Amino acid sequence: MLVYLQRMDDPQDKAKLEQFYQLYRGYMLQIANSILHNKQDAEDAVHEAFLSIAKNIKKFSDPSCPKTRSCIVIIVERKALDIYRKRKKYAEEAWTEATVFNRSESREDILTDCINRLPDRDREAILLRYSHGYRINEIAKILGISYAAAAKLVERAKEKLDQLCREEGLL
Amino acid sequence: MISDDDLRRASQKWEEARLGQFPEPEACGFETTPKFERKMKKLIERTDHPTKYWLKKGLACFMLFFLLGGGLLSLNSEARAAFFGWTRKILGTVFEYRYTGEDASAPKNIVYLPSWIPDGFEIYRESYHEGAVMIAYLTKDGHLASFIYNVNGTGTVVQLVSESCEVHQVFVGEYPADLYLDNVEGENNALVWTDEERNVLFTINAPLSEKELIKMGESVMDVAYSTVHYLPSWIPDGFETVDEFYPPNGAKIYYENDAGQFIAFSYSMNNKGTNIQLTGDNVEIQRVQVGEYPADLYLDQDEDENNALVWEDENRKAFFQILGPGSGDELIKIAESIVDVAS
Repeated sequence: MLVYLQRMDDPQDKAKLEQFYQLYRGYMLQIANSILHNKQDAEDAVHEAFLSIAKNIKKFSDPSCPKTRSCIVIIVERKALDIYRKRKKYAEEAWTEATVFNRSESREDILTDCINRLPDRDREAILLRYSHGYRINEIAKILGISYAAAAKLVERAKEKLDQLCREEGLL
Repeated sequence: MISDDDLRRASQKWEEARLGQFPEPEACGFETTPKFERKMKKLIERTDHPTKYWLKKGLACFMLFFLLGGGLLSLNSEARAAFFGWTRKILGTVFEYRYTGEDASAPKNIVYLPSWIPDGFEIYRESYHEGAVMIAYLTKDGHLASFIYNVNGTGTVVQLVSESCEVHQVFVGEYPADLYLDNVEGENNALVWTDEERNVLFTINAPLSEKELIKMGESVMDVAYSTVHYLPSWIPDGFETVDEFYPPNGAKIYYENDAGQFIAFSYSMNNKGTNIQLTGDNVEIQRVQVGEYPADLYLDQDEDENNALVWEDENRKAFFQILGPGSGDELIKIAESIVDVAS
């Protein structure tokens, strides 16, 4: 027997979650399946991802905007990689597909390439913090980790990025 | 140093490139299993978080998981029993308690807690929210129990979910109660009753027998807690409060600045001292003074790591802890700025 406690508030949030589900169900399953190559595991990852989305539903504005979509990708990839890691106990980097990025020699492109070369976990932290502008407490809630762990994750990700930037002569 | 603006532009550019690799969401078809659809429907309808889920996920941040709701009203349901304003509805495998009467105020500076818990159970997580309190207990071998109460009319719903259970009518003291004995081995039983005097619905969910559940229920007593919080009146420039929790007899506040640095301030009056976890390999401990009280200052030799200050204030009968990136002097300055704030 399980006990659930919920607050009766904001039916708009529920409607928004339904919208997310209708729009992103197939999208998220495809992404999860591309990592896990197993339908059942992909469904589990998407379910976990929706739990995280539901918890943070107020943080998302328009369900169809690119920023929201990008955040959805981060969450579902994270959940899929967590499942993958538990199942295989291999380095997660082995399975993430590289993002194709055509780099020029502009400073911005070099920096973008450095972000591309970060391990997945660190890149997620950088994206949530800088592209999405989330604060540490929000990142902690989205990734389902403690405040201190999120703070440390962002800090270490930034250090790794700085190191890559130094190697590229940006610093 | 890479500027935040540069980082924002570059990370947005990376995300654009990443999204370009995926088809449009509308174009994604994916056949799902009926089991998945059922799970997702449940999630959307209830958007809930069972106590078991906390254990499985090991969530570090414990809060009441108040999310969405209201969807269950639209389902076909049958009101089966009503008492003292709390109505129980049976929705398939879900037993839902919902209050439909005049609102009651959450008691000020009092919480209701069981004074007896079975051997081996220790408090694992606590959550105090106006109108609803949840305490999770855990044994060393991973058995989880929870004690919950909801004040009448403060907008909360309790649901018990069981694939197969027997429901019996029992008494907790003078109050009639619903006892749920789960037929599935290893699953928790539950006890639910309303307390007319206290205007609350109590729920216990635990791997306990009928006798033990009732004993725990009958041990519930009023516990008074302080009406005053002890909070810093000075925090370094640039830091803002981003999260705060006020359990009885304590507080925990997180401050953060734009650079992502954080300060965690907390105190506890539970007479159990305080734990501190520093991850640095090379920490120097100094004995310092915070006002008239001796304190331990933990200085991480890696300047990028947080330092910590821990002390006991005998006058306030509280253990304090500050974790943050500042120097020892700054941490002491925060500590010495603490003032009494009436809640």
